Amino acid sequence: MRILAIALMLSVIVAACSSDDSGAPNDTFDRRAMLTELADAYIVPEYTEAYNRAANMRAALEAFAAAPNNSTLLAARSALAAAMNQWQRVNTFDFGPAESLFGDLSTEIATFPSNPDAIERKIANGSWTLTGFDRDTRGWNTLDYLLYGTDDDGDNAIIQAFMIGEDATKRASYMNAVAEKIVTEIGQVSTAWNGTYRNDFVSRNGTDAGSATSDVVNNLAMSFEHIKNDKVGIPAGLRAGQSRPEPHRVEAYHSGRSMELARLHFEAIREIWEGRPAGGSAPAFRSLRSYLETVPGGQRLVEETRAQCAAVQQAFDAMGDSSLASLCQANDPRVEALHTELQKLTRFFKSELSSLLGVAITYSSGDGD
Amino acid sequence: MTISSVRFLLLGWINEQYVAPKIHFPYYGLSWVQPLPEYGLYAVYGALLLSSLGVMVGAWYRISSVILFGAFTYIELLDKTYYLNHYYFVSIVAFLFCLVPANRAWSVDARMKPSIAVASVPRWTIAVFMIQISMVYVFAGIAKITPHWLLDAMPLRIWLPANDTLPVIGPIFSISWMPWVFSWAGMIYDCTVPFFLMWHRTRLIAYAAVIGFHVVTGMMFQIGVFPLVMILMTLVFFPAQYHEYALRRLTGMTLPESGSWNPTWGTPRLMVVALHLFLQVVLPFRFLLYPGDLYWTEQGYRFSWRVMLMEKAGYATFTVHDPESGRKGVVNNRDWLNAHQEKQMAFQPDMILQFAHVLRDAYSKPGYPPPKVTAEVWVTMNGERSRLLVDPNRDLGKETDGFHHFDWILPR
Repeated sequence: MRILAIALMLSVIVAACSSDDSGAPNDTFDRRAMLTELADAYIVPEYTEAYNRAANMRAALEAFAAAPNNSTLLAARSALAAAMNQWQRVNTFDFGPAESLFGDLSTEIATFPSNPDAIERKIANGSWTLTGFDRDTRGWNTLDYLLYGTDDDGDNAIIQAFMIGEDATKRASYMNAVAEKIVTEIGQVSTAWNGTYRNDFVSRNGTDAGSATSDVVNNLAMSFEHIKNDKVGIPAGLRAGQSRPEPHRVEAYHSGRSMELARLHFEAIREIWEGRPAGGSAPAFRSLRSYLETVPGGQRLVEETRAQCAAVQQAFDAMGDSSLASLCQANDPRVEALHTELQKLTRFFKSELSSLLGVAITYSSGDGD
Repeated sequence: MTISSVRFLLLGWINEQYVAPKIHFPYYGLSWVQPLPEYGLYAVYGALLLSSLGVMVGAWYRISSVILFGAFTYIELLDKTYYLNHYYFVSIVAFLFCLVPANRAWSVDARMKPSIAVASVPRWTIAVFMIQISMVYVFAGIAKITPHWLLDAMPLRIWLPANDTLPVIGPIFSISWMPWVFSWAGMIYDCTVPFFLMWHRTRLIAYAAVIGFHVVTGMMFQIGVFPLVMILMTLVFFPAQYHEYALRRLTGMTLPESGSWNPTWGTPRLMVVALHLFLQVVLPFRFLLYPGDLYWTEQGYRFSWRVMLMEKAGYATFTVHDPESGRKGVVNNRDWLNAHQEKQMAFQPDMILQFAHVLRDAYSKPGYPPPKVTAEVWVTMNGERSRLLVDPNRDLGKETDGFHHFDWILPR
């Protein structure tokens, strides 16, 4: 017993001495404050905005369906674009109220590509459900198809499909139902964040597998990989087993807005990580970057992440005005270059971030002592 | 002497759910250990549950202990993703239970058939558990004597602050010098506690330390039932009269007056135990046969009581080079692996190689040579900058698995 006591004392002395020359941080980070700022400065207002824009879009689509003409079509398209753009700013937070028994919100409303044949079949049948596993017949990308049509459809053809023929009414009500579902789904999540879930989120301030920090870190990495793998990799034919590009598998294929959406998605992830809005006058908030700056090795990771984010941004900027689908079709080297830069960034968001912060990434046991 | 009390640690292992993903990572040479269909796995779990109850209450002990060892070890061998030192420990204890007569007192067997009841057993049947536990602690302690652990207090400098929201003890984790205290205390505890447990004058205080240590680590880390296993298992260090007293108070039953255990196959049993202990001493040192940094290559890392020694994470990108089209394709690991498998695979070379072989076979096309499979694997240890773990140009499809040194692992 005496030996044990002496040993313990010795260890304390040694510890005290060796800590003098270390670069250990003095205080641990206030995760609760970080979660509060992340929720109040970003998640809650951005989700509220996502709901408002989705509701605007629904109104514009209804106006178009009621009176299909060039100007209502353009208004509907621009409302859809505004809503989809805003969706890119919140799709990272695919947990909590965004999770349901039947899948998470991203899968439910943002599956791409859409399946035009199946959509047309549903419309022709005149009866449909919007709850099955055929998610390629609903969500944003279904609206993208209905409002932009296939490659050779002119605007007039699209307008006429809503005006003439026996299916015109069915087409309009199908479109409105799809829009309604999106609004409802986003509305539920937005309501939850504006209500009790925000406090629940802030109070789960540990680093274990059920903590809010773990939710954010894991979902950030997954959301980022979604850009790399699904929004860029697959259409470019860069996935193992693919023998050619598959440009029709981009997001928002029919409007050709894939590149812009991918870019906005990336900018949102960067902003969430950095805790600083990319532009505009919104105030900075504490986020993962501030947390990293307080842990051993964190400052180094912050610098490396920022540098690689800049490289990705450059690769996006190099794309010019061509659509992502056409660049993929042409095997344009800039797409592969973008994929490579995204690839290099992955480890900073995926393995290093969670490792440095000591955040659990699975529910399973770690190695035990 | 009696070892009745150690039985009851066997409760609670069954809660672990077995998920059946697309592919598994069997151990080298044991790839024939394949998962049964779902109902078969449930049957194994059922057998595990029944046999652990059997061992606990000492009913049909001999067959129960063999089934317990077999079923538990079978499940552990299916996939090295889930390798944990404490599962290994449980397997070993279950193996040793097959060799000792833990059903000769306070057991259903002895109740049903009083003639088998004995008051004492040979010393080795108890000592083997004490030695085994001591080895776990001491090897874990020796492994902590590294500059990383003692001077940099890594990885505790990552893990302690991450746990600062724990009730009661959380706040002290945010003190900047606390990781050093815990690093040194942990090392000294592991190296010395078995000896303090053996000495009767320090036993109680050492046992208090055992409880404290395992409660704290149990709160900090997601290590499931292990703290309870160790806290209960360590009771074997207490002499028989403690157990006798406790069990008499609990059950109202007493030990038989006399009789000692006369083992069938006594000498072979002893020889198996001796061989087992010899292997236990030797296995943790097998890493010396491999060049390079053990923590980096992990060749000879498992089965050595190296527990919670490093914070390591990786990100592995596999590229398949199609010989037909000449295209390079990047693999989405999650198409094949669950999150846990992907995480573990991404920094363990033998699993990287296994996955590369799976990909090589999956993307082979008739009439063409197997595709080249390369991997870009970035691994971070203890908060350091990520480095490449394997040679990114090497065709891993052509490299063989085995116990030899993998020369495609890049030096740290």
